[in-house]
Amino acid sequence: MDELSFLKEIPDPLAGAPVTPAPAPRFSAPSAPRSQTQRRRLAALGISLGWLCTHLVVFGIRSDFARLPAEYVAAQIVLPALLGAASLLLAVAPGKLGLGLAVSIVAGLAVLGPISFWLCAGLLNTPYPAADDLLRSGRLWPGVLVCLDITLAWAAAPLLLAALALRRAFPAGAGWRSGLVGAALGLLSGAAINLHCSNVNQGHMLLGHGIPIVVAALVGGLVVSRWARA
Amino acid sequence: MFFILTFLSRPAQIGAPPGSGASAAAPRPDADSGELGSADLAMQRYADGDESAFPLIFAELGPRIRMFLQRMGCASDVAEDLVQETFLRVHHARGSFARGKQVAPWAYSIARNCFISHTRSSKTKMSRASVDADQIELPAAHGSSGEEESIARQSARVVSEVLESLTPARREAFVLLRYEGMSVAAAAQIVGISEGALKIRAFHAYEALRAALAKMESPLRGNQASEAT
Repeated sequence: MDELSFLKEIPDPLAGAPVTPAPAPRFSAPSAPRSQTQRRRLAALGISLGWLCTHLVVFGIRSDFARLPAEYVAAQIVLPALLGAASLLLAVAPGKLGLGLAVSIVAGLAVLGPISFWLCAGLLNTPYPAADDLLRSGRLWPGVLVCLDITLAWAAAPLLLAALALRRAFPAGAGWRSGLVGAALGLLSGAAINLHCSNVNQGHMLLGHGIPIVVAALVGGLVVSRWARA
Repeated sequence: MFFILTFLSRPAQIGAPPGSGASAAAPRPDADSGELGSADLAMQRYADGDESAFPLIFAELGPRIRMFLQRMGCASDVAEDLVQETFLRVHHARGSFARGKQVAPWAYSIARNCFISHTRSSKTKMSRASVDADQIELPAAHGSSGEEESIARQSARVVSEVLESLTPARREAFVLLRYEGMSVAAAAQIVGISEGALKIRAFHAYEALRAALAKMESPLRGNQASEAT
């Protein structure tokens, strides 16, 4: 049948062991069936997108959006948004066996998503020269902290909703899958802050916009996974 | 080296051998084929809210998961508790069960999580000695001589001891492939590692078991040879 058939050489120490049938357990607490779980997840997704869109409307789109080159918009806004949406879909995909995609793929995406954002932020040329050298003038850190706080706050609510909606969702590889969910929500928040913040300084984008994505991935992998493990 | 490379090269499935206790109770659909058995169909109904499907799932999977936990090193009473915990989690997680998939890999993953939680608990003292080899009715005992029966019991004891001495990672890889009838793909997914890594773990376990059995058999062969001359 296969090349692993030699494993059958090893006898089973429990072969012939008596199996006493146990009564099926009775559960006092009800649990949500599939339809209810799916509705809950869709609601969480809708609220999360609404949360980001509402904040974007309130905070406003960046003032220089009209004069940004198309490739800059594609790399800094469209790419993270698409990567975030794809990562979210792949994190909850059932896979061939119903246990999700292979952990190696999920882990790779959870790491590559934030890295791609950092590479785009750090390596792409700025669309126009920054007003001045922020690091030298000492005005880098206040701006970084503001954007760091905003991006973290924008990612926090979707992360909380994900923890609630994905409760007991991942029987295998829960840490990496939750990490990918966190990275995905971080990328969506990163795309949103790139759509709002008009600071094109690379240091500002790496630290103020990029660090929250890593934080969101870590929160997903270390905290959300506690709820998401089945 | 060639053997290991061949071993790593292709996906495979080890079916449960006939007469392997509860694991041979019902024919199992191939985990890679997507073919659904009665427990899988019952789980579809249960995930959709049909409470009456649960006893069928429990009747089919409960004994298998209990044997899995015992093979992983749980004493009989602990394994029974963990089966209850596993099915409690199955109950709470049923809404996440993917449509059209097999229930066994999913339920084994949950059982594995229960086992890991149990072993990590500071209060836990893992007690092996799940089954006394002398109390088991071995397949070799049917229509065989007393000597063969004795050898079979000794083999079972050696396998049990070596399994206990293996690292949990190697033990679970071997147990899933050899005794639980999982395909390499399903076992790798359950453990959360690549198929190649799983095969290597199982192969190391196999080597240790094979060496221990060969060591046990060599004096017996010597005795038989001296008796023949």
